[in-house]
Amino acid sequence: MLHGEPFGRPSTVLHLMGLALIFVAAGMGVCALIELASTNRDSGALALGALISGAVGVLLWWRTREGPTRNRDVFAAVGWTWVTMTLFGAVPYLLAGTFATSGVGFVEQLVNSIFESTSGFTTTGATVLTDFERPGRGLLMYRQLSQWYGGMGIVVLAVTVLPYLGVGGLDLISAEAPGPSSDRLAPRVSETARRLWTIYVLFTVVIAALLFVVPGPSLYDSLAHALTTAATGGFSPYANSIGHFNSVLVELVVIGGMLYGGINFALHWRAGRGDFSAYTRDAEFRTYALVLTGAATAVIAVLWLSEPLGGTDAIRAGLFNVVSFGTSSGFGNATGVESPGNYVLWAPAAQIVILFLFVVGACAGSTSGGITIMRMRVLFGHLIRSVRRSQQPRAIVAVKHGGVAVSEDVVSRMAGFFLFYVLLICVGVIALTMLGSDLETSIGTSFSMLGNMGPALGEAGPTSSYADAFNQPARLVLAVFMLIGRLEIFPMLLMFAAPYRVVRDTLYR
Amino acid sequence: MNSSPSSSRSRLRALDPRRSRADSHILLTISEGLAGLGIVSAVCAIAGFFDDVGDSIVLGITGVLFTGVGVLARVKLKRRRRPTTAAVLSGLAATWVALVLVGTAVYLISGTISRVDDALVEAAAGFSTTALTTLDPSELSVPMTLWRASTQWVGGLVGILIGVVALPMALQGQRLTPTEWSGDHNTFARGKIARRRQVMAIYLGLTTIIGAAFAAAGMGAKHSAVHALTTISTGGFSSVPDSFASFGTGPTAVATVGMIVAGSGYAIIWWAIRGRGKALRQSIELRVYGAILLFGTLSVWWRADGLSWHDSLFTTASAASTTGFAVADWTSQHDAVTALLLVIIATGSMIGSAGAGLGISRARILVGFARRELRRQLDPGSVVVLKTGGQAVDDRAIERITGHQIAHLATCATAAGLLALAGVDLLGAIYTGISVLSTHGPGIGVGAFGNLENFSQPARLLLVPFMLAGRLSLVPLMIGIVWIVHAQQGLRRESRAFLRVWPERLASSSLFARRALFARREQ
Repeated sequence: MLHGEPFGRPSTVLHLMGLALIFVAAGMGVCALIELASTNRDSGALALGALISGAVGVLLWWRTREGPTRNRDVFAAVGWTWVTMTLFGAVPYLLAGTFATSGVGFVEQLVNSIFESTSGFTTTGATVLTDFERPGRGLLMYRQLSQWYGGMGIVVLAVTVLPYLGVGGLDLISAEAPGPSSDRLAPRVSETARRLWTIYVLFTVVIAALLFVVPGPSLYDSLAHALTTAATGGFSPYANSIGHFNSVLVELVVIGGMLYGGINFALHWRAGRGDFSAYTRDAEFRTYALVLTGAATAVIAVLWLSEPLGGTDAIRAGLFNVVSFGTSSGFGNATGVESPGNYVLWAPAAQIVILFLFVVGACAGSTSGGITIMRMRVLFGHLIRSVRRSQQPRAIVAVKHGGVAVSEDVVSRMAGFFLFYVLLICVGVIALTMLGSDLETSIGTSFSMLGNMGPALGEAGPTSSYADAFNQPARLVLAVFMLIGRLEIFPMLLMFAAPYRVVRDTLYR
Repeated sequence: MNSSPSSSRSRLRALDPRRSRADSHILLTISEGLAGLGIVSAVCAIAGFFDDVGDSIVLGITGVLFTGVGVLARVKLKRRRRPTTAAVLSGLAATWVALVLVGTAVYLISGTISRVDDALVEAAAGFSTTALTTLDPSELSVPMTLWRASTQWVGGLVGILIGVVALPMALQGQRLTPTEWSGDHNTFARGKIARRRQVMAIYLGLTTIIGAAFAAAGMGAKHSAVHALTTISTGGFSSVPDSFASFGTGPTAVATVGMIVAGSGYAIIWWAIRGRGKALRQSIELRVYGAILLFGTLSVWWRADGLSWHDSLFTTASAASTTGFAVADWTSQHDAVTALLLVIIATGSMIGSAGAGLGISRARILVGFARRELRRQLDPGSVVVLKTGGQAVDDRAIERITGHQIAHLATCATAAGLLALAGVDLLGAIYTGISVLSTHGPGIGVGAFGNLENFSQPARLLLVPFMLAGRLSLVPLMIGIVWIVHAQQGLRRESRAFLRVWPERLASSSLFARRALFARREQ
């Protein structure tokens, strides 16, 4: 029996999992209709997936209720919800036989399906899909939609869970607002989430409309790319990603969308209310602009000077890729392996800049991944303070963000976050090399997966498939890394705490 | 106010410009460093006199000159009892720079190296105990071979003195050393001078023992002396181009033990000498060091092709102690081997050793800190005390260590970026950046034997500041960062102030100028 007091503690977790599955099932249902109306190859798989996810979701949601939420319950709820979504999200791929090419057994299909689903819901954008002609248009739209769901989930995460961690985007944005202001945009979490979702939906619609207006993309293409641009995800129904259109206008629209998606959504809300100076007042936004401008200038200069590229090609390839990775989107504009947009062939100095962007990410409170600019600012302040204290041991120096002192607790937690980030990169590199990948690919992919970028370096570049670059166990490791990166590390590490304590208490009794 | 005649006199003395000029900690530190180099140079000149008279004369002059400078400074300059932190840190950086400049001059004057930039890189690699070279060591004369190895010996000694004497003094009571150094097991000399002598005696004694062991294992006198000097200092310079690949099992075994001892730190060696088995057993840092060596050896042995277990142990010990010797070309091994060795190199050796890197002690505290943060995520109100060696680590120490970690990684990233800009390939740039900052040197890009022939001249020169940063625990770079931030803040303040007042000033100055003109005309 799931209802009632004996299951009161885990009911919040199950309740949320049920709700998430209902949403996923709805998405699958819509995509099944699209499939039915277009290619009609995978409509059965999508419908069956919707049925399974919906049934389990309704059962969980209906038979449980929200219970008291302690920290460990919140972590468990977030972690398990994402894991459940990715597992159930893999069902349509598996049922449709998306990865059933010759010589691929069931286990590998399962691994590939889980990888693709995880990459979608975590808005990473890495893919093991090699034949983009095989899946139907509905299934490809579901793949795009999974990223949009992931982005929406991150918006919720930013207002509900990250403040618990003391490292969220919205608990520091108040420092930038003049006068007394709340940490959140509205007193209630649900109201805040609703407002942010409104921005997210409007943003998606605007991008879709702009893409439809410019020559090239069809309505389907516009909608598909708008979903993943808003989510800073990077999936595309085409193997060459945005490079498929080979259009400057399309690239400019996508660049604009990625830049907008990389900004704290709370600032968009304030701007929407007429307070446009909220952007310029925000220290994180200013640093974001500075980082992207600096990185783009550096990459374009390196490409211009060291590569046999003309000025226009250097600007086009450099700007697009810098924005793509600076916002953790992962779109590519390479039209082929030898194209200027294939950054794996760039000079090492330009690749180092890309690797730097893998780590930094965009603003907190956006749909982007990476360490985020805000954390980097606080960590830099922490570094300066520790140096000053080594010179003047008794000095009292506060770490400031936007002119306001950041509490010691938050600084400590951010230092802890950074430490875990570094540890995970080391673990990832060693694990991937142990599993047979080369060192350059392993380093690039560890950074890329933890920052939810998508394409990486070496054999996992923008024109490669992860199916060719990594073996099955490595793909599973990468899927775990995507989840850890998307959930800002701690929820994934602590999601076992609540079940562990339940089991421990039960055994103890 | 109590003002005795003696205190008035001291105040007057302090106001005397001649006195205050003489009271320089920085100059004294530089002169002591140069005097040390002078003594070593003189010894090398005598030892190699019959092999190459010209080089011996250059080294002899260097020896006499700088020993004289040291004696003169000792007589003329007065040591402050309590130098400021900034003075201690600046003194260390300035000493290292002075040593490198003198080393560069010696290479150039002796004709060993003809290019200034190569001489600078060679000297920097020597004094930073980094196993990178621009030379073919087999072509050097005996005195220059010995002197080149001696630069690493001096650099290693400076490294230990920084960790054991200078930084604890500079940081004025902030905990730098592992907590197990304090408490019941602390039998080290209390005073700065006494502790320095103690360290030097141990260092010299171990060098002699390792040299004798090399000789007993069948190495010639020159090779034994060179490798003893560069083993105890975790330097990695060799008297042959392919390091230990050309020596047999005996010398390799001696080098393995030597590197493990050199990377284990002053406290461990002191306890071993004093027979404090309990202290050794209780040292968690030593256990971690042992675990790294064991795990690294087994992993390298498992994944590497053609490396025996003792070769694997040698390679791991070289990485863990940040020495840089090689018994085979490990950079062409399986990628898992190079990845694991990179992590071991970045972690570095124990505190109080001549090795560099992040440091096992710091890494341990960081892991403890990570665990504490994880617990605090679950129970935000909980008070979790971070302990190491049974003693609580205060928040200031944690803050400093986390700050150091960020600085370390940021410096690695900067090094990699600049090397890539200088034309080094991506993986080579990342690997070399990390390896140089740990004062290890060899790796992907450079190769296992640390010859910089594949690096362009700008890339070689770029390594110099990072060798300095690695050797001096990032201190100079950190000072530089603070200076830049201060300068930038000051510039911003000044420019804002200027923008605020310039219209008024301009108006007033032009008004004044006009009035002055009118006044002159009226006259």
